[in-house]
Amino acid sequence: MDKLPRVKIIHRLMLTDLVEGCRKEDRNAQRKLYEHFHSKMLGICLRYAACREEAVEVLNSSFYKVFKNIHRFDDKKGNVEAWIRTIVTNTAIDRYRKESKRPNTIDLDYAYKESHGSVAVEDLTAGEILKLVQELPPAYRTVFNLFAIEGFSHKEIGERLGISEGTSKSNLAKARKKLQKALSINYEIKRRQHAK
Amino acid sequence: MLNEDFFNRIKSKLSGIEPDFDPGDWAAMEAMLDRKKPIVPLRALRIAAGLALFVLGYLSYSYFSNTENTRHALSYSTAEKSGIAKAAAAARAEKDHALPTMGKATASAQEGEALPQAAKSDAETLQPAMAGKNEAPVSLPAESDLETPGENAAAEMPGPALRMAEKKRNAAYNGSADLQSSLVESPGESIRLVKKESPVIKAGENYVHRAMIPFDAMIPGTVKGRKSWWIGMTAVPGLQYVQNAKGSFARGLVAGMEFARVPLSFEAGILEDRFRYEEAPAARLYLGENHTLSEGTLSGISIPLKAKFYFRSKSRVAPFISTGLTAFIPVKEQYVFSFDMKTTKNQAQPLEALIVRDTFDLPNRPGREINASTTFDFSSKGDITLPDRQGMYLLASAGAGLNFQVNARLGFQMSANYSRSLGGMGLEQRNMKRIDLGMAMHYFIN
Repeated sequence: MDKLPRVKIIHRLMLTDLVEGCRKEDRNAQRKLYEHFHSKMLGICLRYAACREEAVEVLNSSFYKVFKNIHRFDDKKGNVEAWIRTIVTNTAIDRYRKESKRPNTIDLDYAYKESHGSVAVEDLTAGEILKLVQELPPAYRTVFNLFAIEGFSHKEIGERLGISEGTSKSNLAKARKKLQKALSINYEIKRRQHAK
Repeated sequence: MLNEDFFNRIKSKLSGIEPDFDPGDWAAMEAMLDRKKPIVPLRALRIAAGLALFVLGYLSYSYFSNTENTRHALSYSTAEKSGIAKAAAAARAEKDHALPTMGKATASAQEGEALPQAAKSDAETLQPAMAGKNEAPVSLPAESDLETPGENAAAEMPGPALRMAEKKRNAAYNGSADLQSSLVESPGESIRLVKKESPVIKAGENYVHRAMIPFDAMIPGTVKGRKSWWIGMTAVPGLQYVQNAKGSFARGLVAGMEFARVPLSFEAGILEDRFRYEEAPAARLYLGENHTLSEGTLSGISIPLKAKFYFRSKSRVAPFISTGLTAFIPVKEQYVFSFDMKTTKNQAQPLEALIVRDTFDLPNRPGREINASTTFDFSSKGDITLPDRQGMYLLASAGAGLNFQVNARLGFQMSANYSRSLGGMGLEQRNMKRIDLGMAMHYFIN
């Protein structure tokens, strides 16, 4: 039998208690579970959303589902973090699908001018890159997240978003192109500011 | 830069993003948890509204399109379908020969004209089939043997000579069309006699004992914690007694709203009602005919609107007064005649019994009448809370009301009536999160 580190055992025990508390609709347990996963899950939501407010909305909708469906979670079949993460991703996708049915007014804000030069991802902070990702049109941003971060194939993305595999590939290519240009512009602005 | 490398770099940068916990986020989450999610989604309400519009459209259509002429046409087509026209045509074919010999013809030209032209050809086709039977000697009943069919129907029946002629013809082959042909001659009138006796419509003039057991499945909800509402289905089997006990059944949708600060509630619904009734056996039309059954089924749409005012809504015994308006829109009424006919083919043969049963769609009813009634009930409902979220209530009430009737044919009618509810009791499964179930037993007399 594998010996788990003591901290991990405690962590697991704590989570089991919290899940049990949530099943009983104990508000204190719900708050603790929310606090425990807040940062990680909000990080995911931020990538799918256009701003923090939108990300918090996705996060809270996800946790609402978590609390209402916690009785369906089976401790023996998987860990709670992966379960919550799946719910968060699915909620973000659902939101995108709902938004995508509305009239599209995107792209004018994202009409980056063509520029050349290598992209210096390393020279930008995580926050700056996140901001650029958030500025992508929702369709591109969602495909980008699912492919580049979550690791889904185009076929899977197509099924989840209700689009064709070709559209998924096209959206990813456009997302990459826009992101590279945005990074390039951002990097150039930053470089000039430093030069002054 | 290769795509994969680019994506990996972005991923590694973004995976480290873990914003700090903001208590405001939890406050928003908590507010969401406290807020009751609407149980009936907007889509369901839209579907319900669509259905209501459809029903309203259908009723409007049937009301405006069902004119006098179409009603007559309908009654004839019904007659043709049921084979009545054939017998009537046969009788009519005989009429020309029979009338002069009997010498007492009172049948008007209108009666003859009322028969559809198509029936003549039917009569012609019937002639060969009946030719053989006509050869047999027929015992004609004496005119004194004919009984008056009934007060209302008498004026509309064909004259005695014509009836004699018909009887001769009918006795020749089976006799069963005897009554039927008279119905064709005056298709609406015999039926109107039934209609006037309907206990459902003229409740004020009959004592109607009614026991009902409503089964309710309601979805409760609140609006900002101040108002509560419910929407659900109801099914009400019942038993009513006028001259005989007959079943009734209603089913439909009910929605209501109750205010928390004002002890007032409103309820509205749309129900499909189906009543069965049986009138007293009609007078025999002819000697030898024994009327065995006259049973009507009236179905229509009920739209009840009710308001309740509670005098002590918070207490366990909550007296309330309720008033409302119920519109009943008849959609279809069917009437079944069954009778035995005993006749002789000739004097040498024994008595022959024949059971005739026919079903008619009553022609004057659909979409032409709206019956509305108001009632005021003084009631008291006592709640008894049982363990495990179950509830029970006892109900006693007495009421007085006013019935009025708007009728396209009969005009505006008004009559006072009173009803008294001898009591009721019910059992409810309350406080369930998604649905409340209830059943009750009510008994009242109109």
